[in-house]
Amino acid sequence: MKHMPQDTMLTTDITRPDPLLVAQGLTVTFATDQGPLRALDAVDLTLAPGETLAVVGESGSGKSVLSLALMGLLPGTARIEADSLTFEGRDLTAITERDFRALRGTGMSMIFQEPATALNPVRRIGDQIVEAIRLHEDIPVRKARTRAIEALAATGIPAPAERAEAFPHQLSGGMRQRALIAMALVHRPRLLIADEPTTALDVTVQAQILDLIRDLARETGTATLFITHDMGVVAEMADRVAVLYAGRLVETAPSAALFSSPEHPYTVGLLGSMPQMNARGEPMLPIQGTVPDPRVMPPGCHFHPRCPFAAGACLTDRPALRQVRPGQMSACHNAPLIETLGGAT
Amino acid sequence: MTAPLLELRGIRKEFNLARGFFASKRILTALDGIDLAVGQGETLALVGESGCGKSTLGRIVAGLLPATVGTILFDGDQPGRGKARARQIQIVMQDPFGALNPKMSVGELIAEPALLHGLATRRTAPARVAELLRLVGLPEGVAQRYPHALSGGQRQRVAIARALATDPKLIVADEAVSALDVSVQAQIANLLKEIQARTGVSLLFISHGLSLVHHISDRVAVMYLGRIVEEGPAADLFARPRHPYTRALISATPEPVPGAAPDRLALTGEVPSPLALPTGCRFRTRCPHATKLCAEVDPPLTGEGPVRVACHLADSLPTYHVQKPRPAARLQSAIDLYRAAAAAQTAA
Repeated sequence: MKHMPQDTMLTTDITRPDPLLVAQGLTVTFATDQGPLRALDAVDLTLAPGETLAVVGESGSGKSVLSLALMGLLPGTARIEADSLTFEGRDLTAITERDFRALRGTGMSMIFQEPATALNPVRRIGDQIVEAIRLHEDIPVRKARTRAIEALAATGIPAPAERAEAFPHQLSGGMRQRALIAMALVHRPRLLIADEPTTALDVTVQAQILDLIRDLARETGTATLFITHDMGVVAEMADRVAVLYAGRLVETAPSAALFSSPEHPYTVGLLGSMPQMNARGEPMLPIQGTVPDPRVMPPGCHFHPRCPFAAGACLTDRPALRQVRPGQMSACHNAPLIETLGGAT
Repeated sequence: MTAPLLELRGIRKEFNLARGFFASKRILTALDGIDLAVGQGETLALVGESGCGKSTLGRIVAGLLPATVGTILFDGDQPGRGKARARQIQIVMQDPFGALNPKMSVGELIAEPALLHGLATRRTAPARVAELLRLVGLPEGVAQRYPHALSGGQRQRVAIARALATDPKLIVADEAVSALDVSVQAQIANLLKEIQARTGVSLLFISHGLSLVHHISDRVAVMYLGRIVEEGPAADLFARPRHPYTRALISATPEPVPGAAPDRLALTGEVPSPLALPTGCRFRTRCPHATKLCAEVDPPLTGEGPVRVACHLADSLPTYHVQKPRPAARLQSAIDLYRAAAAAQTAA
């Protein structure tokens, strides 16, 4: 897979030929004791082959629900509705559980924040990868074992043959995440969903794992859906960014555009509250308040109770996601922000 | 620096991992020869990766763990034990939910330390609770609620109010904002600095995240495997880090500017086990500059200027200038607009 030149990425997602993943109007509702709870509300997403899309938002924004919905891993209490939800042209809402199982691992796979809980604690690392290989491929154990050790070696694990004999608890957090990445990529899936894969790791190990995910994805042409709350990680990894707030997509843009000219106040708040964006010794810019309770969502724009610019229509009308500049969409009545709200450009 | 509030001299902490009477001794040295001081009203940050000993040091300061060897001076004197220590030094932990009794209301939780230390009576406690809630920016009505009904940020405010209830001179904040969303982290960090400006309390801020430390601390001590490897004023340390480990930590921190990743000083390998420490410098197994000397001699923490560093090569390595990438002009304008609108809203 060639790396996309910058100007290709600036064109709108829908015009691109043969996207890998398309979600339109993706809505997820959970049945709870207190009535239905809408975790995702009409989300539109497109992912091109080989592209890295970062999904960002605070806890409770729905970013993990999104990844589980795409993987078909939501519990039975969840209802998924969508105008369209396709992977390589296949309708994921109509697919049988059996076909979905075949797709997971070969077509799409996932890595998680806490590799320790994603691995079986009483089985050796190598055996777990061998099992993952043989689940989808009818090859003898010995051959699969060789493949497993190669996969571990590709993730930079030193002495992979010995590590294959280790149990998960005998490895460090960084090594466990490498093993999980090896397992996730062993069938060369077209889509890797990475849900906060470095949040639990130390910063120097995080740097190693980010490099590894980027290099392996580039090598194998795998597209990555990278879920994170860290804008620094987004800047480092993403071709494009989707910002989620309280279950809704509020902004989507090529990474360069998002960081140079964010067009939703929530994105501005997320960036402004980073220590790096504040002068040393000055009070930092927080986003006031907290994410709303999904059972009592505010009317109008979901962000309006926390938004310093909220007025008029924001309190009553849901803002539609609309194009602000080529490739960049914002769901804010005030976009483009600087032109509408004044201030130096 | 004026007379320090807290002084640590030669602190060493060993844990015996052997289980059972007849088991042979297995000693893990979590801290080794820590010398450190915290000034009045100062914020000192302890940074480092998991296993470096920063939390153990915080617990020793708070009196939750005894040091194996070493001297602690508080206000120039031996610090009290138990209750007397707790009144002067309070600790705020990472997980506010685990630190708050779920069966007590917020009012009871905040009144408890004041009552325990005889700083309030049943009659005066409600007024004290109201005052502390105001100080941490929570509405008075929260006093009747229970921890489970609060958000993570609100719970951490309650934990801070509890810590303030005894009018301590030092607060140990052990990863106190790490579990919170970035937007809420900023709220809590602002709160800690506001309280410090108002009460003059000193802060020992323990964190694995460097960006926030850079923003709020006066001085920084970087720890690696139970040792301080570099210590000095935050401004100096972040502009011209001298120890290769400090440099690696700074360069590994992702910056929110695409394409701005500094020439990353990638560290290979992982932190060695504290049960099998390398000879000489503890960092040498991961250090890109390590020499024969580093494998033989353990470098002491020394320095003539305000910065102390424990590295044989500190004076011979080329200077490493950290260039903080600047946000784009339009992003800066948008943030300025947001800040002005938020300020106007708060004023109204």
